[in-house]
Amino acid sequence: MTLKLKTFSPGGVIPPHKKKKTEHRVIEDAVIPKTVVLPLSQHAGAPAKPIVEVGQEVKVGELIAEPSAFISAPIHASVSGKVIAIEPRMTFLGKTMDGIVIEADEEQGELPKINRNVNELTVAQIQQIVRDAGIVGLGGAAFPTNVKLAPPKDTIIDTVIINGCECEPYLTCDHRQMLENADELVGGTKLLLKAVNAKKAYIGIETNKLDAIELMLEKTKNIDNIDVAAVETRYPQGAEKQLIQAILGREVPTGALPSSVGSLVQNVGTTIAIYMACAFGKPLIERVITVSGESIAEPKNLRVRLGTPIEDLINQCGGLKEDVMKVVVGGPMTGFAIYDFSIPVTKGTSGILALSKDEIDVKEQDVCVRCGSCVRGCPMGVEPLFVNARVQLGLIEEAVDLGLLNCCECGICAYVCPSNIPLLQSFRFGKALNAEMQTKKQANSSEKKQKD
Amino acid sequence: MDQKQVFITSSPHFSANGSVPEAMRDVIFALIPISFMSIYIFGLNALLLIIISIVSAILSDMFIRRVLGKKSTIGDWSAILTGIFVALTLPPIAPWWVAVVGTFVAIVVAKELLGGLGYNIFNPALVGRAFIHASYGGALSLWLAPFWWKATSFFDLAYPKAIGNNIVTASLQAGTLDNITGATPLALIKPALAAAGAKPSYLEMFLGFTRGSLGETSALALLIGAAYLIYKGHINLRIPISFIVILSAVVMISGGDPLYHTLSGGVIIGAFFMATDWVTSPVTPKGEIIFGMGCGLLTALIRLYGGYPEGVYFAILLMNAVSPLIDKYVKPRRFGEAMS
Repeated sequence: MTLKLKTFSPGGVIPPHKKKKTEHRVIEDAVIPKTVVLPLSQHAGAPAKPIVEVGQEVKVGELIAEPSAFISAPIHASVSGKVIAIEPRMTFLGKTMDGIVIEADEEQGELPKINRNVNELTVAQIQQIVRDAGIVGLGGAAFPTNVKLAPPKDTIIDTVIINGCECEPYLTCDHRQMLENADELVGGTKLLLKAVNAKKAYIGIETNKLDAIELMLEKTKNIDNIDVAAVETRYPQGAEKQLIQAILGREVPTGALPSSVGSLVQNVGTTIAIYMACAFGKPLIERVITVSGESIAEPKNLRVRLGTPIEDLINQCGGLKEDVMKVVVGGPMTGFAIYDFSIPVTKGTSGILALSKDEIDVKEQDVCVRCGSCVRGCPMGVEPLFVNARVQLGLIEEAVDLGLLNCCECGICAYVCPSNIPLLQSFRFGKALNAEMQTKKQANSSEKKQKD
Repeated sequence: MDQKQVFITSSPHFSANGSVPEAMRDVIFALIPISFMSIYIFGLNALLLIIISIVSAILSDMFIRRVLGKKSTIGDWSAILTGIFVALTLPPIAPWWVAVVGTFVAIVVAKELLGGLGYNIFNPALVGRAFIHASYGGALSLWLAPFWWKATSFFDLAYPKAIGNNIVTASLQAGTLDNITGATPLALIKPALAAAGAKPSYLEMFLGFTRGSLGETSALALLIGAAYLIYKGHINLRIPISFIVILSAVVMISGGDPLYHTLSGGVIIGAFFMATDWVTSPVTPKGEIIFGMGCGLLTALIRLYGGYPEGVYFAILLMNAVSPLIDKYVKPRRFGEAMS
């Protein structure tokens, strides 16, 4: 039992939790929507390829799109119904993407079950099941999990970390899953340990979830190789690299993966999904999200079918109040503000926040007074004020030297700035300019090669 | 559904409390104790200097913003703050026009003409003070005794009066004041000045019952204000402590009294209020420590071996010039990269 309080350094900030509205609300099943829109890319990597046609009848859990590359993931029908379109639809990123639109049947039927004895599964079987079930990282990055479970041959993973931090304010979906699906979480952890042949697993939980810490301690007290690691409640404690540093004291080098320091990090939701896939053959067709914020009438934690339009969920939570100023998909620090409420919930959606004017604190932008708050808050050791000054002047190479590409986009710099300077937006712009420059450079140098 | 009007911006979607005007207001609050103490110790002189400085600072700000064609920044409280700081660096006998010139130079030259708030290299109030010091030294070399006004009344005003080739202290109600001016605590320990008088006790220096500028007296009042700023998170102890530690170390090495040095002159106001100014000090924690140490070292060297009895203001200005260099070379460690 490890209960010493751990944390990361440098940087970090402690924003208000805002979790009181939903941390004690039991997860409710959302109403099955009339139509679902399943984008072909709900994961990092290549979009999936559809294997169904318009007009085709599909059953819930049926495979409807195949992975198209090594780093890709399949998509399954989240409801039984008829495919009525495969066309571009709006996503939370503000751009349209091809998606499979299914009109749900009145009668939904049961999801088929395949009961397995998880203890008898081999490593290869576990990896195949995880890939076939379409499981991707549910913490938000949506990276195909089976790729994470198969690191290169010479990489040894000795520790698995289950990420139960949920450091973003408002969100409580992981917290509730730890409390309500604790057995499945432990089962999934054991499967992960087996899949990567690791010696030990830690369940990292922030101290603002004492009930979850207590429950997980209880569930793992007789399991030697699974421990609970209580970590300080600080943002971004749940960021992969920061969590590894806090629990194991190892720093993942710039540009490298957690496997390079022998660790594998998986979100609580992902781990539970892995168990459900292995034990019951359940593909990824639903996930838990938190609907919260001052401007939603009834905040809730909902178990939602993938592809459900956001407006359905807003209605189920009593609707938006008059004072709503922003609707955000995800958390307030890294989420996406949206204006089109027909967009669907996807594998990476963790929350829907209806924020009022008081919550988003609209302030006018002022001049940089070199207070150093951004420098003290940055967990990556970048100096945001200097990088921003270079980006604003178009000096992208200097900005890269000063650490532009090390930025993990946590949002702390813009959050703490007393002058309300949109630092993160500036860095995203700078990174885009840099990518453009790199593409041009590569095009020029390959042109030169052709000429020689 | 009935579509509501919503905003779209990049994340993050909320922000911590705090703004630049709020921080400025907090510093003004923090300076209230020392301002009241200085009025209590030196009388109407102090009150008028503070008021005239503030008014002049505001008018200078409005003037230069109008001339430069920029919108007014009175609302950010920085002009009022600079006005108070300039007043606190002045001796109580300073004539009213010294306050006007000092604040004008501070706001117009040191701040606005260098780019405005956030772009100035030097602490504006200290530049104003340095200008006055260089231009009107004579008017500033008379130091009133604490509670001199009790001999006449609070509403008595002291001023420098020329009699023949000398400048002496006079007051409205009492004519020429005898035995009122004397040497500051620092002048008393400067061998080159050969000043006469008894050194004040540590307690007197701590409470502020000594000669000096308005802000050079009560360490107690200043520390109360500094504690408020630390509580609010606007300043931290890195610069003040490194300043005072190095100053004390150099003083001790040369056989002086570190406590006497710390409590005298502008060390407390300089270390806690002026060297910690955001714009003109380094942005990294390590950089702040180097900055504070440099201020302490220069202060000690000027006081012990330089021409002036007091060196805090020049030390801070010199370190302000070095601050960008410190920021250039002192970088935080990047996460994921080896310690160099």
